[in-house]
Amino acid sequence: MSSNMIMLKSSDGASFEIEEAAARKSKIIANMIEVECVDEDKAIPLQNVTGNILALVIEYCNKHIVDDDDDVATEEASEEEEEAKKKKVDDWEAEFMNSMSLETMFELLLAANYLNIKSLIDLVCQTIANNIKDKTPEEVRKIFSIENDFTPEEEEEIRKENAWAFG
Amino acid sequence: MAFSSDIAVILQRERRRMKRRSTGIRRRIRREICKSHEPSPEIPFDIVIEILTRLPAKSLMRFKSVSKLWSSLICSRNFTDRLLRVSSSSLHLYMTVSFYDNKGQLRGKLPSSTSPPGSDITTMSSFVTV
Repeated sequence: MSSNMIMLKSSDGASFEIEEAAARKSKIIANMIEVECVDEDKAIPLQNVTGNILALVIEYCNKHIVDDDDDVATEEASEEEEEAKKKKVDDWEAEFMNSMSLETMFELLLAANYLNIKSLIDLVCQTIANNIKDKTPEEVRKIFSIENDFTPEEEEEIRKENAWAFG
Repeated sequence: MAFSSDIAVILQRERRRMKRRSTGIRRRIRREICKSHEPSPEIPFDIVIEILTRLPAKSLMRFKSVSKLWSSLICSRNFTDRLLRVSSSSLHLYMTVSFYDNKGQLRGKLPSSTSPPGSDITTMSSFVTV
C-alpha cells in the first residue's frame, strides 16, 4: 500500500495532511493524481470547502479507507464477519452524523458533491432525508430557502388532493 | 430521450431562476454588508433531487405543496423512475412459480428473473403432457 501523503488546503487557509489512498476517495483528487498535477510539496487548494468541513470530509475518508483495506485482506470472510463489519461501519456513520446540525450536513453535502465522493453524498442525503421526512411544507421551505410560489387557492387545492399525507 | 426531457426542462428553468436569485441575493448581501450572519449555502437542484429520492412516499406527497418546482419534480415521470431505482437497489421481490403434476410432485420452478429460458420451456411442456 502506498503511504504517500497529500496536502489539502481549505478556503480559509487551513492545511491538512492526508494519505493518498484516503484522498483518492474523492474522484476529483484521484483524477488530479492520475494526471500528475499534484505537486508533493504543494497543497491542493480547495476553494469551496472551509476548514471545519474539510476536517469532517477527511475523517470520513480516513475511516473508509481502513475498511476498504480490510476487504482486500479478508476476501474469504464469512457472511457473519461481513455482517459484523458492515454493522461496525453503519454504527460509525450513525455516530458521525449524529451530532451534526442540519446546516453542517448541507455544507458537508456540498463539499462531498464538489469533491465527488459518492458514498459520502449518499450518506448525507439519506441522513437529511430522514431528518426532514416528518416536517411540514413550511419547515421544508425554510430549510431549503424556498419561496412559496403557489396562490393560497392553489396551495389549498394541492393540500386537499394529498390530505392523507398530512395526517 | 423523452424519458429525461421533462427533467431537463425543469432543471434548466431552475438554473435560470437560481441565477436570477443569486444576483438578487448578492445585491442584498452588499446592502447588508455589516451583518455578520452568513446566508445558508445555496443547494444545487440536482442535490435536492438526490435528497428527495430518499424520502418515503408520504413525505413526497406532502412536499408537493412546498413549491411549483417541487410539485412538478415529484410528479415527473423521470423522478418516479429514479425513486423506483433507488428503492429497488436495497429491496428485491423474488417470485417463483412452481409446477406440480397430478400426483403432487414438484416438476419444476419458474423464477421471475435470471432464468435460462430453454429449461423453463422444457419444464412447462413436460407439465402439459403429464
